[in-house]
Amino acid sequence: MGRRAVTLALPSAPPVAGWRDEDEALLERLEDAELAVELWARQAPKGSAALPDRAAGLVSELRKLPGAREAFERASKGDITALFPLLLVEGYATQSPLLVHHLAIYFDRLAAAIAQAAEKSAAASTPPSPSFREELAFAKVRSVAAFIALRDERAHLAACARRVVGSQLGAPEIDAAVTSIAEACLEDLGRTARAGARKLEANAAVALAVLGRVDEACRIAGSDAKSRTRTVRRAESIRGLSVDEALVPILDGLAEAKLRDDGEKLYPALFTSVRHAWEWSGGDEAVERFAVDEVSNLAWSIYRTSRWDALRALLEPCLPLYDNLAQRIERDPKRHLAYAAKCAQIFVFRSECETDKNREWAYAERALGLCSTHRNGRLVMAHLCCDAAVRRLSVSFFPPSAEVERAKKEIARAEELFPQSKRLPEAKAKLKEIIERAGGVYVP
Amino acid sequence: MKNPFDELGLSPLASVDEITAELRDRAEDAGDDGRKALRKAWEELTMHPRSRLALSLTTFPSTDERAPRPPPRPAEAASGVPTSPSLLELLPRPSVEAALTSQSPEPRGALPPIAEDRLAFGDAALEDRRRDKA
Repeated sequence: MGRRAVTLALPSAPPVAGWRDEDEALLERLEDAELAVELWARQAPKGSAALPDRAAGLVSELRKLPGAREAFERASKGDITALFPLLLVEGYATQSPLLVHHLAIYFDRLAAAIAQAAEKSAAASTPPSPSFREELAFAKVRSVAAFIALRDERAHLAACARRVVGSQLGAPEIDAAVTSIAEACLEDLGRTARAGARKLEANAAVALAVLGRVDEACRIAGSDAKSRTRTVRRAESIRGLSVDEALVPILDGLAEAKLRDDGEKLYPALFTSVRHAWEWSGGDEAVERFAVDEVSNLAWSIYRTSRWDALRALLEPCLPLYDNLAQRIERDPKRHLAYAAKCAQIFVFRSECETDKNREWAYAERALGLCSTHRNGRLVMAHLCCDAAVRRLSVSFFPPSAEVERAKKEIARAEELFPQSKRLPEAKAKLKEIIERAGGVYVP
Repeated sequence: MKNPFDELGLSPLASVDEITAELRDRAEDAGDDGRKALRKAWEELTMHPRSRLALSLTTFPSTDERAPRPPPRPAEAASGVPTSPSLLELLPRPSVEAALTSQSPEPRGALPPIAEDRLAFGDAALEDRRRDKA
């Protein structure tokens, strides 16, 4: 093998007599080491600890990717960003396991460096990079994806393990170490998420977000359906525990408020904390369900005393959560069947304490959209239909026929929704009066 | 969590004896805190193969890190038999000698006295010394 045309030090050096393959390999390794340092310096935050020399192996593996030659030529001319797309290779299941192993560690170290830089910024009371959460989550998702792929592939890690421990560990123990590598990543994320959950810390939020993106990690890894289902289920379970941890202080606060005489005053602040936890969790469904579960009984006790301002104040902090849960139910009613009626009741409450007639109607309609058999939803909607019909028929002594027709439909709908509605006889009487006044015959 | 293989620049393929020897060498020059950290790392890496394995799988994998053989000397290359270097082979090549001497401000063969040796004391120290004499 002759002297290569492309090197960092001598871009166009001519072939050298006596140049051996091992000289070439050494030169390439030195160049790879240099590129690895440049790559890290460009991607990691300033002041991050250097990577070990073995990181050069990552660059060596990237060289073998299709299209790498052009990228490395550009990198040799000083454009290190040319290597970035190579790092973002996907479908790890079809890539060299050694490359995937390097990527797993590289992105893990990158995520750690970004997290550490953010901690330093926080300690110095300076704002972290505005995109640090996205960058941290991105790196972590890639690292998790690579570990999932290595776990699925098994052979590479098992071979590495045998080189490290030889015969000190048996095959079952090596197999267990390989199997648990992705699980350990998820557990580590769970620990980070739980540790910062009660104070809703930023690093914990990122760990939670990554746990929520394990499906994406499985896609990057190229996992099969079985592995994907198992991994996503495990991540969801860990994620659920972290979300529960964030809600513990709120639950304690609610329990205490219920025992106090002036507890009602504390509810808006507590439900504002629920919204903060929801925002921290990236809009987790479990927090939405928690809000619905916890607010329902409190809302009923206020509703029964017809204190509409207090009801509005109770519901106000978590309105985005109820809306989001409603959208989930509307998108996939079968999956969210258990919460359809509960969420519908929240919209009934919102309708009842609303002062704007259009919104009052819209909330009642939405309640029925969520759960068409919801008793209170049907009752309220029937009431609103009767109310609308009476108003329509009262606008003038001889209302226009189109208005009369609309009133008829509204009364018919009210009768269909809730025949026992107390407003129904009044609406029917009004309609009869108008029709007879115009010389017609009222047919109920 | 920091990985001791990364922190200490150890190869993940290092044996327990190699790790112990390396950390013992480092501990000799380390302060109390450093020794504690080294002790902790040593325990992590050597107390059980399972923990060493877990740490080794979560660091950059080790590839073939052996240094290449140096190129064979001309005489050796010709005969294919290892030989002792000849006096001629120990002399610098003319091109190398020229490159070295062309940059030298001092005439060859006339070494400066040791008190004025730039290599021994550095330019700044010599400058100070000359100023003192003046």
